[in-house]
Amino acid sequence: MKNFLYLSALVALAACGKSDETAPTAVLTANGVTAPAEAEAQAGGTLEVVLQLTDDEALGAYRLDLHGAGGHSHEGEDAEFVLTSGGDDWAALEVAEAAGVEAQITHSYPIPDHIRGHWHLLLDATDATGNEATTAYMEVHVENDIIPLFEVPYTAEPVWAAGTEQALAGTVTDPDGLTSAFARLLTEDELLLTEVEIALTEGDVSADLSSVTFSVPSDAAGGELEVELEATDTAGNVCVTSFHVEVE
Amino acid sequence: MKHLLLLAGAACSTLWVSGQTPDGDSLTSPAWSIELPSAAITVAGPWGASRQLASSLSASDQLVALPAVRLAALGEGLVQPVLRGLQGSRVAVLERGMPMQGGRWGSDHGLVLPWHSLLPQTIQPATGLNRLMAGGALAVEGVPWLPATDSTAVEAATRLRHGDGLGAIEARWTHRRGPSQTALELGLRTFADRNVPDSGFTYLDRTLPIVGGRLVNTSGRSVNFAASWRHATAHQWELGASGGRFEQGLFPGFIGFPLEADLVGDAAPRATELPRQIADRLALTAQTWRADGTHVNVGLQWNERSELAPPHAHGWGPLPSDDLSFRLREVGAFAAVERPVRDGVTWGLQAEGLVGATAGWEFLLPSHRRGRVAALVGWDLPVWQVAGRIDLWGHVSEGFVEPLYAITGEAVGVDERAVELTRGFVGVTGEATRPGWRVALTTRAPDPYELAANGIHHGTARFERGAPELRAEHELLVDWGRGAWRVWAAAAPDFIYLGPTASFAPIAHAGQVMAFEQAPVFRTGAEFARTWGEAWYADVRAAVLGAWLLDDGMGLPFTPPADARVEVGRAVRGMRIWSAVQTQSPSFILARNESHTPGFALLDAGFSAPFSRGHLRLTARNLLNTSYLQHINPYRALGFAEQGRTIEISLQFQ
Repeated sequence: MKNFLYLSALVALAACGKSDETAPTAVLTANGVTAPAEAEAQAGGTLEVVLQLTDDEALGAYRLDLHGAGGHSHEGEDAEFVLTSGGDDWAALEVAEAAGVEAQITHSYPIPDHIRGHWHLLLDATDATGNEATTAYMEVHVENDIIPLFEVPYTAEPVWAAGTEQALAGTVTDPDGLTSAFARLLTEDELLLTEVEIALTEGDVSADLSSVTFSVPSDAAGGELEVELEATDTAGNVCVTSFHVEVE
Repeated sequence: MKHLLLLAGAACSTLWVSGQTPDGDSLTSPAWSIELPSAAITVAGPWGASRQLASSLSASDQLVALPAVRLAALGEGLVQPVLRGLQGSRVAVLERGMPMQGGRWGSDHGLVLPWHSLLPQTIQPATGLNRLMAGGALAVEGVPWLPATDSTAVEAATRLRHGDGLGAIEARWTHRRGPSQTALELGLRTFADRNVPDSGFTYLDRTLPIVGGRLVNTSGRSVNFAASWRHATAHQWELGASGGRFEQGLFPGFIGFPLEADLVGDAAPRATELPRQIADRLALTAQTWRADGTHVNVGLQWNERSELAPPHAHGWGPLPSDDLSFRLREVGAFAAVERPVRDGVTWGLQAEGLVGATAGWEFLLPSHRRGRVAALVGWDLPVWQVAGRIDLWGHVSEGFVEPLYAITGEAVGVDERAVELTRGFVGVTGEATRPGWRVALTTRAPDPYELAANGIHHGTARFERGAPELRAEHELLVDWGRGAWRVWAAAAPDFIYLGPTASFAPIAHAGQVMAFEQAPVFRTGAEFARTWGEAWYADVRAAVLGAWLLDDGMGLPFTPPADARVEVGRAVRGMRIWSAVQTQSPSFILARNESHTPGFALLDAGFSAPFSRGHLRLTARNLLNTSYLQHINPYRALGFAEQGRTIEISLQFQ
């Protein structure tokens, strides 16, 4: 049996060739900031992305993925609680081949006027053999001076008790002045349960959300509800944002 | 068809089984003998009888205890047998002599065998020419013959499991009158969401939480039935029918939407309608053995597997209008005849056909048709048995195109997911066996999935692409066993495997494309199994395996680490108490881009005792609730831990 094993090992070793086992490298830069640092961007502006790919033999392809930050995290970080507007309205996916041993590729993405919050930007790359680079990842923070701004004091999804009255906390502001603001309570299936108009006088630059009180349905225990916030400023700019509430 | 095509090449890594013919003749093979004549499997062959294999009840537990056999499973229904580390391939399954259909997509998406059967099953042999006809069968289900004539037996068994919740009940009525035996069998199972000691998983670099330490929406239920009639005189007949339905929720992370967190409120078992998978199957078989040794075997099969999911678009196209994500419907027919002629020479013919139709808004595999005819001959010499087979395969698959959408929702091009394909393959298979030795040259034609797949496989959570230009695969195997040891080696110049490409899928929610390719491969392994003692006993079994691509020296994907199981116990008057440690080394052979898997050690324990009309078993697995990863499980790459602690009680009545 020993001879058998030795022969097997010899056959394997003698026949083995060598191939490219070195993964390529991928460097991701957005608006002048290199991952993993966070990039800042302004609604209505552009996000300028630069990819730098290198490999010792030959590059293969790359995949650039821009998506909203809701519902997940990357690289072991905990998902942040961030009020996002238009989280599904801005995304991009670039899949293309890359050639040579070095490549610098740029992409420019216009940022819609009505979005605000956190987005994720990832870069994956392969070489011609299929070795995959370590993913380059960064957060993109989109600020917005155009639409009204909702701010709430929560750091995680609030937990409400079924059958209770719950007051919101936080503010809505706009330097141009607000014309209207609403808070809505919806089911998991986005059925409207309650709509409350937030108390303000037209032209106010801020309003307090504490005037809004919701009755949490007694049959919602064990599920989730959604709070949707909407405000319009005097220029007609609209902000719509939302967050989930766990019901116990 | 898939399985039969696998059969053609399965000898390269085949679990040889032997057992008893319907009329009780003992059959042997150089490898293992597996039969379930009563409550437990006994294993003979080069390792001798094993007490360890009687320590639990289900066929899956028994089979996985064999050194070369592993099961990759995600939940109760997602069971895939793995022989000698070849994930997703080379596992041949026969049902009363008929190759079981199901395709690769189906085989790792549901129950293709009564792995969990609580009642005795005969695992019929595929030996000699039969094995060559089958290409090496893993198992053939069947009901054992009642030992006496004119008798009736009623058997029932139940199984309750805590941890990874499960309830199962099976019943069988068997009636033998003279040379005829009739058996009817019905089984019901229900199982809860899988018990996973982990808090999250990663898909496409996105980390998603597992809330509450359980995979939501992985619960399910199944029903299965089997009926058979045998008439054994000089001219023997057997008719069989079997079928069932299996339903299980699909963990939403695989589907993409909704996220698990969206389902937490509905986490009660089966409270969530979507996403869900359903597998239906029906098989009809007929066999006859004439007094002159002629054996004729015909069968029909219908299999349908569906994945239902909330409508969503992979990309930015319009949402689909229904819930049918993907469906594969297969209708197959099989016929074989073998006939001894003279001086130990037997010839045989086989023919089979398969029509596979796919549907749904998430493309994975085109509709296809397959056919195969084969001629075989076997020759029993004084010491050696030799056999040969010539196969002709034909394959036709349809093309498929769909629009490619931009983020704006506009169609910006055409995504050609499959091209029309017509291929033919010729293969020669031969083997020579003698006690302790087996030498085999096998040819295997690529299956429909290997040729034409192009989409996200929810069984592996990867974007997998077939290669229409694949050629037939050939392999030379040498296998030697003596006493407790068994060693083997195989070399293939054109081994078909799934490896990473230099490209990414053009659709959202999919990453690097994995594609089938061919390369020279060398595989080898050593297996050990031995039991010491009687009243006090120790049972040790271990296996080490290597599989390398010869053109670059890297490992084949999912090459299993070395593993061992050591059981010690005490047996007195039919009662038995035992404890076992199952260990696995860290992964030491890795494929390109494959991540390292740490080793682990698990502690099991059990007790069994007979009573007047049955048997009681208590089994505790993973007593320390160790969180561990299984290298051969495709979901390991997503970070899914394996099963946590379970405690089970089983009762069998007769």
